[in-house]
Amino acid sequence: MSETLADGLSDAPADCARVDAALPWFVNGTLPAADRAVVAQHLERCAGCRQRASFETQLHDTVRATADGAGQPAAAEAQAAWERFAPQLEPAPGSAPSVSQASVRRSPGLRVRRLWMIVGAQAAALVLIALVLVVRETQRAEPVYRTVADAPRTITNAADRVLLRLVVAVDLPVTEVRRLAAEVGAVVVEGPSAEQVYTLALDKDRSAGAAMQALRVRRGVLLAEEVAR
Amino acid sequence: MAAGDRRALRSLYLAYYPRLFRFVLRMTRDSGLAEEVVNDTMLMVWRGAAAFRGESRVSTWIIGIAYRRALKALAARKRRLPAVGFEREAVDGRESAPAVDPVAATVEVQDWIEHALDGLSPEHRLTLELAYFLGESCEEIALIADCPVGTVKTRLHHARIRLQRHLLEHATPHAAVSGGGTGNVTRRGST
Repeated sequence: MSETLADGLSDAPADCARVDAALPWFVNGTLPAADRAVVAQHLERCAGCRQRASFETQLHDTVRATADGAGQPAAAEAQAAWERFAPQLEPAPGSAPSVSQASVRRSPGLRVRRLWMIVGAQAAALVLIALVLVVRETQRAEPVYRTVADAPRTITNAADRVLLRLVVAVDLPVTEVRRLAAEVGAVVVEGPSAEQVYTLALDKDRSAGAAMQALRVRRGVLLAEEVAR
Repeated sequence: MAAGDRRALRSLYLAYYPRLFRFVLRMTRDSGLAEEVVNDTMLMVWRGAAAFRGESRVSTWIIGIAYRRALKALAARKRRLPAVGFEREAVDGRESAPAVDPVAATVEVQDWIEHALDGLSPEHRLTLELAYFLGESCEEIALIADCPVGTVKTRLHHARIRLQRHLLEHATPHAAVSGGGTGNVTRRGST
């Protein structure tokens, strides 16, 4: 204890707290002699601290009971443990163990740990492979630059019809776009995209020019043009 | 040993193994894990012997390594297994507490304390075990745990408070810290 008790103690609660803090070292015998004498004197006077010291002694004795009692590995057990341990040693301090040495007898715990390390390494390798594949797939799926006039790739049922590209204001609802499309003799076959782009398929008997003219003058329509085939 | 003398290491191993093994076994209750921690410790001692400058006692250095390896092993096990705490004591619930047989009571309080110790955090438990099992001083524990002396005192204070509180909650009224040194402590509801 760096903080000495040898200055003297009274029976004040603050001093009881100092004695209480010193009790573990009083009980385990490591309290300096001068402090030990002061604590002993205080215990003679203070019933409360004596009770705490009693509990502390019991705690100490209980913990210490296994130090010299049952379950203590005999010298033979220590020798056996050494024989399990020795093969793990390197030829000299500072160098890694050779495979042949390390693979000789190990304790069960070390074997389990080594197994986990192997499993962990395999898992890490799998994660790495998965990452590479994901990165490659991401690169492959990277979007190409397209104008709004480019032909949509997903429309399969309007191959023989004129397609119109329509860009509308963000507040124009889909129902309104469908209504506009119907007015010019078209149907929405794709959209809206995040940029509010729609694709319309025009009826065969309708003129693309007339439909675009009609759409361009409607409120909320920002762009209307024929899709390049 | 710093020169790579295996015979010196063997002597050190055989000298320290029993004490370190029991120290770690008290907390892990797993002989395989305890041996693993001791072997890891001695392997680090073997590898680090040349770098040991003698700034502390050899035993403090070795126990300090064992302390850190034990903490690491306990943390790893905690991630794998559910926590064991004070609660498991409370299920032993019968109402009456018959007359106390001093011998049985002593055995029982030891059993209680052992279980209560399991409810402490690894840092608190290790600090208490270093003080009571290994008999280290406050300053030595600070070196072993690589922390200030004040931290050691605080950890031990909290560990003791928690144990005493648990004793008061689960022991019969006449027992616990009011025993005045008799050691007659019984668990509430025990036979």
